[in-house]
Amino acid sequence: MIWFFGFVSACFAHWWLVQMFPESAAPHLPLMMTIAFSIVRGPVSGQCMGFFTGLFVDTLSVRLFGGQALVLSALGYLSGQFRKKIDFNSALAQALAIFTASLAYAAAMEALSLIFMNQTLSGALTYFIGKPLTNALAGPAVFALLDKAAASRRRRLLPRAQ
Amino acid sequence: MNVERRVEKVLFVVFTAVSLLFLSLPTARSLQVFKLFLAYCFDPGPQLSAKAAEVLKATPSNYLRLMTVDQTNRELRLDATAHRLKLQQADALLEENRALRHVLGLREQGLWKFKIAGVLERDASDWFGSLVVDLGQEAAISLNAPVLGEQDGEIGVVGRILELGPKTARVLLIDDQLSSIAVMVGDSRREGLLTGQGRRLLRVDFLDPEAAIAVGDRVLTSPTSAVFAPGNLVGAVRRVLPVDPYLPYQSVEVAAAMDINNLKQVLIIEGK
Repeated sequence: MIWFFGFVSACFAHWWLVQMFPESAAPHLPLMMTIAFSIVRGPVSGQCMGFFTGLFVDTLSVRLFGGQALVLSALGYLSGQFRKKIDFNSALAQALAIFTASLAYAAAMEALSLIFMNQTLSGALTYFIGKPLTNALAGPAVFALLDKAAASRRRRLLPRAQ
Repeated sequence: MNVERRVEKVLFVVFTAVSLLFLSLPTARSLQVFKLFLAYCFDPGPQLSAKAAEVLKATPSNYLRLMTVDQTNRELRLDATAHRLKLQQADALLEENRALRHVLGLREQGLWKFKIAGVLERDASDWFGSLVVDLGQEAAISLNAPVLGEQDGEIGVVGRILELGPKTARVLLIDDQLSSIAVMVGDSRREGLLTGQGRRLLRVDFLDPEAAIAVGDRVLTSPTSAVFAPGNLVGAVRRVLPVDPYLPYQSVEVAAAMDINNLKQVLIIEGK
């Protein structure tokens, strides 16, 4: 349920952010959701989120179809591998995780673009500096929301004390 | 290797394979169809939000306008109450007048009846001469019926009906050179003949040369007018012309009370 709600809100909010903000100022919500889900709920959840939101973003852009899905699902898998090795409870760690993932995302998209389209991405500065910074700033909020949603779900599922 | 780790590895392989497949396939056409479908689903959102933003932006000015309308409404209600009182007084006076006329054996004067007509068109070649209104023979409008206008709370003479059509009528304006009306000027109520000068200028001739007439004196229709009821406002004296020693009368220039260019509606009086 949380996953589905996260997926729908990520798609919807991404659409709005793209419409309302300039590209460098709009955080990449699918990427942040992928990392957050992967770290909070595990790599399976993160990968699914990355793949499906990636497909959604692919359909909205004129670039490679499947590129975002590939990169986001891979990021979901990789960040899931670190969830038990690094403590992601602090906002700084979450911001750093998002920042690193954003850089990796930019590098991977650049590589895919070179391989499949034989050209580099336009606005590389935005992808390598602007986006990672905005993502890192907004990232902890996504983690907090997800934590809150998970906590309230746990409270609902726990048997009530008699 | 536990189940969860196996699932995540399988998913990774499947997602990667599917993504690579998408990347390799020529999906342009089907993708375009899907994109159009998505745009169809999502596009009303931004449009609605833009409309909502416009409505929100216009809220302060709309509120101000509403308050102004409310204020005007209150003033108009008070005005209407005052007018109702005046109307009651007028009715009482009318009744008294009728009784006195009866005692004195004078002929009774009927009340005005009027119809409101909209100004339809104006002829560019005869701008200050005539205009066409949207009532005609079918509305029982008669030739030479007086036509009055209303501006800034005052009712003044506009002209008279010159030609009749089934649904329209041409009004000869007082500015026209063919128009002449018997008028009285100032408090002394000296009579003269007002004629149009073909532009926004009127002239009253045949005034008593001894009469003291000053700029700003009101010019009203005279009881001797064949068309207009007495006391209708025509205008105000704009300039007193020097008396010509060879003429037995003096003349004045008059500024019309009604701005013909701003008339949207006129009152056509039925009977004098």
